[in-house]
Amino acid sequence: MSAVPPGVWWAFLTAGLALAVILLALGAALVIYQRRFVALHRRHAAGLLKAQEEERAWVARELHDDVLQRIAMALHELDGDAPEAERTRVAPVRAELEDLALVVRRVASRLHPAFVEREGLVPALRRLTAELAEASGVALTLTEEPGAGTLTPAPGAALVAYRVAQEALANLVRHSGAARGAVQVRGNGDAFEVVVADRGRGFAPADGGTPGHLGLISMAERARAAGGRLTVTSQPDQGTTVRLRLPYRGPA
Amino acid sequence: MPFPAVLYAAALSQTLPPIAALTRWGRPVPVPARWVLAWCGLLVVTDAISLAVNVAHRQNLWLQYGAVPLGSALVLWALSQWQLNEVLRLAYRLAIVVLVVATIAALLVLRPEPMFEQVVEPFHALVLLAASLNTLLHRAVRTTGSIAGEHWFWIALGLSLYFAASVSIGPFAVALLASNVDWVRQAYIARAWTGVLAFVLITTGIVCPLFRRESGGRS
Repeated sequence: MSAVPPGVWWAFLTAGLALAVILLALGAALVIYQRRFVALHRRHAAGLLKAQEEERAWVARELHDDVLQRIAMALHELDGDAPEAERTRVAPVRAELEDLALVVRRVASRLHPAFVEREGLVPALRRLTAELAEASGVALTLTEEPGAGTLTPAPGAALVAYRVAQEALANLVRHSGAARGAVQVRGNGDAFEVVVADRGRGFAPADGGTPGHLGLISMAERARAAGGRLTVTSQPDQGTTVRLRLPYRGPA
Repeated sequence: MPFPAVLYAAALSQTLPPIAALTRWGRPVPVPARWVLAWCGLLVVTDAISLAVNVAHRQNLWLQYGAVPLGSALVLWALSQWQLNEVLRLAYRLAIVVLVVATIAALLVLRPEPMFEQVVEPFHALVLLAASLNTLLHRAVRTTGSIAGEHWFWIALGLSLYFAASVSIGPFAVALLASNVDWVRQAYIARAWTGVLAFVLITTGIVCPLFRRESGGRS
């Protein structure tokens, strides 16, 4: 067997070194580009969520400051010094206006739950579960660990927790088929958790076409933007658990 | 034996692009092309110092240890600015760091003197050949209209030719040194002619926009 000329080995070494440089540079560039892309995407998502909340707050304010005030004025006109017969005639209109005011108030509070900041997270969640239970017929319970009632997360973090719980409960009511659901609130020194669980039909988490999938993505983005973490555990016919963990200090 | 004239012509041809840049009469040279001009300037300066050291009967190979990585960095930086793809642009710039580290490692592991010309220079040339060819093809595919009026086309073509000659002829000549000196001479003459042609192409790229009616598009 003839010996391989030494020059051939150097050619292999040269080519090998060059290939290594090219592959290393390309690999590093791909990793850096991917990280930049993900960071950009997350900033964009956080910006969109913030813009969405601001829009909702504006609409809620308009509903409260304009629409509700006009309904109140109309009710006041109906309560004027009219004879009894006239009042009886407009009673159905009055009832309709009062009902309309209730609906508008509910829509406004759903759009921007100012009471989360006013009353605190746990009372707000208690109100949410009661309203949903009454509207849907699903038995929803809220349990809190001792001391959780005194949780005082930053307003931004509280609102994120409320929104995530709101979305998770909406999914529970719409998709789980469960007759019962549970909300738990607990906190420790530096973070608090909100857990929404049911024993309904569940889903395969990898299934991107599952109803409510976009809602899960939105919840995860909210949690991430607030510096927290969302975990969704579910399997077909084994129920679903949505666990949100947030630091006390939320976004500004 | 006197040096063939073409070797002097090859050394002088490295000054063509900077001289051509002066003929643009105040119109700015595109930013990537400025880095190519810097590389040409580095080659001229290195050759001049190398000649002066040689005349003083001293060893001048040490010049290449710094000039080769620096030249590669200048060319890669220039080529990176012609990339249309963000990942490739990043890759070209990261390759500068990897190349420098690999060069230092190669110099430490291999004995510098015989190995620099046989391994390190061709390995740099191979990377730069791949980078130049990729730039040429990548942009040519994505350019609508004539590419003959694009400065990047001529410069990338010239760089590809230059580094192709460095990759193929240099190691070939070193391998033949022990057996056939005349072939070595022919190899260096061929490399010199290729170098002249390469710098003429690069010069064409430097002056190329002068003949265009309107400038435009990305550099």
